[in-house]
Amino acid sequence: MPARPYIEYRDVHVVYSNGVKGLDGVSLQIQRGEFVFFVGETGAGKSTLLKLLSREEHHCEGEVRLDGQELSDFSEYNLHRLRRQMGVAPQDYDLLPNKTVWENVAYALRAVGRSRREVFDRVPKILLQVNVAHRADAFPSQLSGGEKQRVVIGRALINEPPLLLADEPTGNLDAAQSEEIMRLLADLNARGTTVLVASHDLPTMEKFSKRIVCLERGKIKEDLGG
Amino acid sequence: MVDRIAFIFVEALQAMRRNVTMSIAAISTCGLALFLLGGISLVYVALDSWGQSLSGKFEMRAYLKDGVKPPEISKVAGEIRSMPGVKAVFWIPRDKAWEREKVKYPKEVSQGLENPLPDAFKIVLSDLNQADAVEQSVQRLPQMDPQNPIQYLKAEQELVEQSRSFLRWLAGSLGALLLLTAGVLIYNAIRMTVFSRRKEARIMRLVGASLFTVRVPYMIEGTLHGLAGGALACFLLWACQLSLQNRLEAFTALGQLPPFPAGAAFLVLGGIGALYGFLASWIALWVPMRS
Ligand SMILES: Nc1ncnc2c1ncn2[C@@H]1O[C@H](COP(=O)(O)OP(=O)(O)O)[C@@H](O)[C@H]1O
Ligand SMILES: [Mg+2]
Repeated sequence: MPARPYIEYRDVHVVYSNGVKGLDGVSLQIQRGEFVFFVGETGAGKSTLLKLLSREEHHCEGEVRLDGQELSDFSEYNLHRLRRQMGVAPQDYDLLPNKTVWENVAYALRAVGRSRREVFDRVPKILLQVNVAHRADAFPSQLSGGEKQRVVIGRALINEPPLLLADEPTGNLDAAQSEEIMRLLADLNARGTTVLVASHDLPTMEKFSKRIVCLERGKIKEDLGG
Repeated sequence: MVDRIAFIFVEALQAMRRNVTMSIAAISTCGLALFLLGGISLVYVALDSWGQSLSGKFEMRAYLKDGVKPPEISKVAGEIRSMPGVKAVFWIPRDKAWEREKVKYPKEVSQGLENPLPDAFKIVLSDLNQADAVEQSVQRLPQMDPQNPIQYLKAEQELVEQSRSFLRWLAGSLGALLLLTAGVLIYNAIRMTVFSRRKEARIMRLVGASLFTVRVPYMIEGTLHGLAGGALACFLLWACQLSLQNRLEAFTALGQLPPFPAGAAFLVLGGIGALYGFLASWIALWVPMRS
């Protein structure tokens, strides 16, 4: 008998309030430690697929399970328990513009209840891990796209999550910066983190031979193993 | 733990700094509402004690029929003294009263006139509310002169009663209206904060902060608005009392105002304000935001 999948989508449908179908019957299994690209044109449903896992969106039909937990069982009141099991790097960078890089990461740590001492201990390590330690005192507006993305990934790592969701992490980056970001994600994956990346950056993806799930209009068109 | 509380408080204070104008509007309206309510209650209490002291000084004058003899007069005095609400009864003999009149108006009155005054009782009341009953019972006594009705300060008593019900009405309607306005303003201030901090809130939630951590700063903000309003009301009341006291010092007869109960006023007004702000912000968070 195969092991229970870490992530499982079973015949998932998402319909947005305006009647648009975000996902139209998606079934998919992902094992612990995998690195998966979700690819497809804009509007194919890549972000929706990730947002279901972080419960930023709801599915109206089917099942979505993470580590055996049905995600619709989480309510507003215990959602933070789910969110602490993953790191989310959203599509819009969503850094606080009036805080420095250091403060942005520290703020997230404080928000999840870490003490000031832990913050002083952990922030430098996280910044080093995503290679922006030298930009600790810069404000987001002073950063390059690649640096911003690193900070966002760093912020997603504060709970040392076993799962990382990155939505278009190379969206606005040139080829060199894109490759660096992907290498960072691949490194995290190599150390055991399951990584799901939504992207339409095929050239960069092709350099990393990973599993690629192709989406088209809310359906899975192809699922190519790495 | 201390660290967590510190974080939440810093968040609340930063939220308040963000929309200062709205905070000031909410705090001052809340302060004004509580000032009015507090001020009216203080005046109410003062009026009440004035009414009480009035009834202590308060006297009736009752007139006896002609020719009632002194032993019977003291018997009647004893009867009146035993009535509820009566503090003391003094007999004012007609001769003594006449002497006094003569001293007051030497020319007009004393010119060969015979004493026209009846014997009278001065009745001092202990309870203003019993005045009517005492009047009726005394008037019914056979020794009293039905032609010469009892005199007392009915008008003053009614004035006190009317002022009190007017104040009750004023406090009720105006205070409630202002308090409602204050509530709406606090609600609005919190809504604005929630809106202006939606990015922070989104990040906090995304990285796994509990709803409690995200929301409590707003509740603190609302509660602080109410508390500051209470403090403002306290200060205004104190200032009013002070200026009133200065003005009243000219009239020694009115005596001193009672000292301002600063501690109690702050506890009560601050408490009400804080509770009110807490409720307003709770509702503000509970009503969903349209995005
Ligand atoms: N909040 C939303 N309200 C309405 N429609 C939405 C919303 N989010 C996404 N959609 C629609 O759902 C479809 C899938 O969107 P999305 O998952 O964001 O695609 P992708 O990330 O692949 O570009 C698109 O047609 C998009 O317009
Ligand atoms: Mg997208």
